[in-house]
Amino acid sequence: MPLVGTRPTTDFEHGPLLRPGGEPWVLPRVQILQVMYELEQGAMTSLLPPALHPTIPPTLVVTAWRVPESPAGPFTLAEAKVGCRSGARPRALSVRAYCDSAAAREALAARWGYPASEADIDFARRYDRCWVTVRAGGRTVLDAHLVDPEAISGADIQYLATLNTARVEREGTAAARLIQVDPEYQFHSADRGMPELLAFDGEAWGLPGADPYWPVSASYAVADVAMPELRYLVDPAKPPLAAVERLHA
Amino acid sequence: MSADPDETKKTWDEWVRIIPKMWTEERFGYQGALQHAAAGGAAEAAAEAAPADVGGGDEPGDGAGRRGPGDGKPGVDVRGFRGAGAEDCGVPAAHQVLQPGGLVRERASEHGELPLCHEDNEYGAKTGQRLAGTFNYLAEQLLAARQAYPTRSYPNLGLLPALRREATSAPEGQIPEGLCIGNPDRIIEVIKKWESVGVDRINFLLNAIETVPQEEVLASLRLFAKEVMPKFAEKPGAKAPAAVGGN
Repeated sequence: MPLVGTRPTTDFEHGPLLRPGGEPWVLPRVQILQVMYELEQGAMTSLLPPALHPTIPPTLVVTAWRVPESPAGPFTLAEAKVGCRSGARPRALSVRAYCDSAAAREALAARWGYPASEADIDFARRYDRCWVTVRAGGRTVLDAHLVDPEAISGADIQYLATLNTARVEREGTAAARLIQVDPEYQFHSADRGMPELLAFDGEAWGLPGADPYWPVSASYAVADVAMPELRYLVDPAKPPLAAVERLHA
Repeated sequence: MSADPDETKKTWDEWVRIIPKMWTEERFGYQGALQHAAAGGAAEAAAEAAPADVGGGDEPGDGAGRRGPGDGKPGVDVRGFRGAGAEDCGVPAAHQVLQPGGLVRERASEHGELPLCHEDNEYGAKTGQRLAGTFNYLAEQLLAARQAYPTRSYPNLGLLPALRREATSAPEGQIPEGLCIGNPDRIIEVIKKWESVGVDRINFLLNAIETVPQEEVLASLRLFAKEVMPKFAEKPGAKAPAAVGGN
């Protein structure tokens, strides 16, 4: 059978407490930078809980959103996720993210389980490249670039659904769960280019041992993003075929 | 391999044409979209036309580099009858086949299958679906080109995920119409339908991590050889091939 994660489930017990509900969020003209690297296989299973399979090959997916307008005000969000499979479904596990707005951090954590910490985030788009730089705790934890952009169709881009490390209330206690977040995208424009990862601190992203060694792809898009109603959760401690739960409102 | 995913299908098609010519022609030259070689000896030409990258497989009917029947586009089709039908793209895949004496352009179309042949239709179908389910689960662990790289060349996920869709396309309790599983009569009917949409070769994947016990695999092969293959023999009255798998 396929490989499964070997990471201790205690690593997933410190996410934010999910409190779903509230008005729908549609975020207009979000700038989205995504950079994918192949990971060294040494950490193929040690980054994931037993509920998830690694992809073959293992991948790191860096995603940054610059959101000019939202109910919580403008914000920039950065994630470094591990590509994986929940059963047979493609997913990306986020153990820790960063966001530069306190109001957005609180809303994203409560409604969609984003495990976002505070950081200074520089997101820039120029003719020759696009980049995101994240500084947290006085050091640069991420510096990811798309170099030499060329226009493509937004239909050529495929974003993975994220599994956010969070907690939900279960019988009076807070239980670790991975929250499936799969927004809908209406693209205005899209580019692709060469990926370049100039700085990546695995520990700072909750991914100790992750070694992104081979550039795969980079894309930049402007899209309207409709945040989803939550439907599925994953219990990180269960085997893949028994781990998915449906979220009842 | 530093291949450009935008170009892999083009280079694949070009090399499928170039390599047989190198093998069979005393002096060889080629001017293509991506490879160029002035006429010269085969070794000289091979050096000049050395590939910048090597193409991979293909997903027929995905729209990129689409060609008509017999245009030398190799590949394997895993879609259902409707996806492979003439209204879509004609024969979904074609092969160039090298035979002694030179290049033969052959019109051929292949289809991928997870077969299970059993006297009991229900048992065969159930076991076959279990086999397909296991294979598909494993296949989904691979990263598809489409998931890794944004390009027009790979609008579909590819061969293995397509198998998954085909195997899970039927409503609960029914057998997916395009799968060669069940008793010999059903499998003959399915293969005839594939034949009617232009398929003339089928690749059979026989097992996946021992989901079906080896004895059942062998029994399935023997029954298939005895009851199904004679119905598709090229010459009327041809003998059925010997059953494979040993004693």
